[in-house]
Amino acid sequence: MKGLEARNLSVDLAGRAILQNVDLAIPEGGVTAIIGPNGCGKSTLLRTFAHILRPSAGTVLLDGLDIAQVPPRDRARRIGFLPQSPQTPEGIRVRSLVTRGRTPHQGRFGLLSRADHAAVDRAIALVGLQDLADRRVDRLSGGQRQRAWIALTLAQETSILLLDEPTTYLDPPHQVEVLKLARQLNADLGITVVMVLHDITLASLYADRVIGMKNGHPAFTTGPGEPLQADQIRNLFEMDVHVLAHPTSDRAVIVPVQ
Amino acid sequence: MTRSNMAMAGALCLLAVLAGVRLLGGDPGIDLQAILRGDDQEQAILTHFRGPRVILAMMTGAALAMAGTVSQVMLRNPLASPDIIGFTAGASAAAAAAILIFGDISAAMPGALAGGILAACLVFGLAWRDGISPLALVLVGVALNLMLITATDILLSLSPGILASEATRFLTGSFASADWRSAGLMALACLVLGGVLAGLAFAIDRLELGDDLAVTLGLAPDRIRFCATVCIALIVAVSVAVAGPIPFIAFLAGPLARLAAARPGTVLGLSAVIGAILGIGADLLATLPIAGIRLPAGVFTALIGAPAMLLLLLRLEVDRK
Repeated sequence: MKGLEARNLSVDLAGRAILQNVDLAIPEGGVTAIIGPNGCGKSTLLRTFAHILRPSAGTVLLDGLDIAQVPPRDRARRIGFLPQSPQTPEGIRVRSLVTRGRTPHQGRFGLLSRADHAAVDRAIALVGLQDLADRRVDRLSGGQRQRAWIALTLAQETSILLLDEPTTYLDPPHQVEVLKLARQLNADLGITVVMVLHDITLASLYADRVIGMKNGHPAFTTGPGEPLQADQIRNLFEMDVHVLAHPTSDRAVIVPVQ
Repeated sequence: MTRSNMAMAGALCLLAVLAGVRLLGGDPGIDLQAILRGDDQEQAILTHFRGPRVILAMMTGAALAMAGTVSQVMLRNPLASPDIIGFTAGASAAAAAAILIFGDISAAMPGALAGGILAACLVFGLAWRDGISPLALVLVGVALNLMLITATDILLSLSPGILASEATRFLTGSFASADWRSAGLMALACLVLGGVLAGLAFAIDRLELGDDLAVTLGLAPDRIRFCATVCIALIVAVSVAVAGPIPFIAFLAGPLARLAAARPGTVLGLSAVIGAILGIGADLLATLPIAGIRLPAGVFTALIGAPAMLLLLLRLEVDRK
């Protein structure tokens, strides 16, 4: 299968089993959101897909191949990952931050080819930071900074992009902006986007497929076009909710029962 | 011309001037005309004393600077330079112990080599938690640094006067005992180990993004840090062996280079040149009698370094706000 797949995947962190015998497929294409209560293993799953964490049992398959067997450089050209709180090197400017996304394409001493420069320009333009390319990243607003980081992963030119809570610390308009960007990347460039999200409604509105994680297991997966059901959310979060119809789309809006 | 190139050109000019002054200047200076006339004595001063001393000061400075800036960047902490996280203290303590045990200053070199490597192993071993946590490494290093300094003091106070004073002199760090053997050894270490660090610098600059991102960019953070740490420990050990501990060059050069070039990362080349400037500048000050006394180079780097460290920490605080 093209895409990412977890087969009988178990992951331990500090001696504690976080994921247990997970079987899950994320086919190529589409935007997938992973939701679930704190500590359910959703970030762990994403980080294992990115090969940052090594499974204690089972495998992650990338296009049907064991990801552990894929050379690191090749893997880095296929899967991009944005951590929840990436570290900004002191004083770095947008362009040089984005350029670091070219790492798996550059030679040993980091000489940049014309293709590298072009990819960096494209990535900066995609997130709309052309006018701020020479600014210091630590002087940008939260939303701009997040776009700069996404540009880094875009400069990597991977077909799969994993985003770990990309909307955390952002105000609502910037959350929407980031999620629209994710949709746009999927629509225009065909990038497979997998993101961990906290907000159920945003997941419902912007993802084609939603995976609900609970206690280290996927509790449900919605197919493309299938709206989230109230009892799925009730079971997942053990919280009573209403599922409403979005006024202008066929997506579901989830609100807590008062 | 970019900002980094300008900074590099300026630093190289300053280095050339300082090296020239140190080589030929002073009281009495070298009489170049006498050398051209074939004056053996003037020539001997130049080739046997000043030549190796200038090379030693520059190479020690450059090597320590590279070790320092790489270690700060790869551990994402400006405090994480080898003179603060125990590598230098380990090499010094073992060198002092060797002097005291064998009663001979020549035991300092093997002592420093063994001590520097041992300290690096200790810091790494104690900070290891399924991989290297940069913060744990810095904290372990700072603690070990204090322990080693105390151990050195205890050693010195337990030893007979003459040996203790010889060890104390060694521990202030100076380029005064330079000869071609020590200068050559330091130059070799600087070029070989600095070359390896230059090969790693591209990857190390990317570790600054955090380990998660570094891994997904196709790098192996633990392996990179291991290789770099071996180089850093060896540089520190050799430098302590040939010149004693010269404090703060490793700590200062990287931040100065990043400031001058206005860019993040190791800025390895410029750091090396700035380190060489600091080394030779300190040695220049060491040859000037101040209130009638000449102080060793290590005293001057400490004099500049300690307040600079405070400034750097204060600036960090401001940046965080």
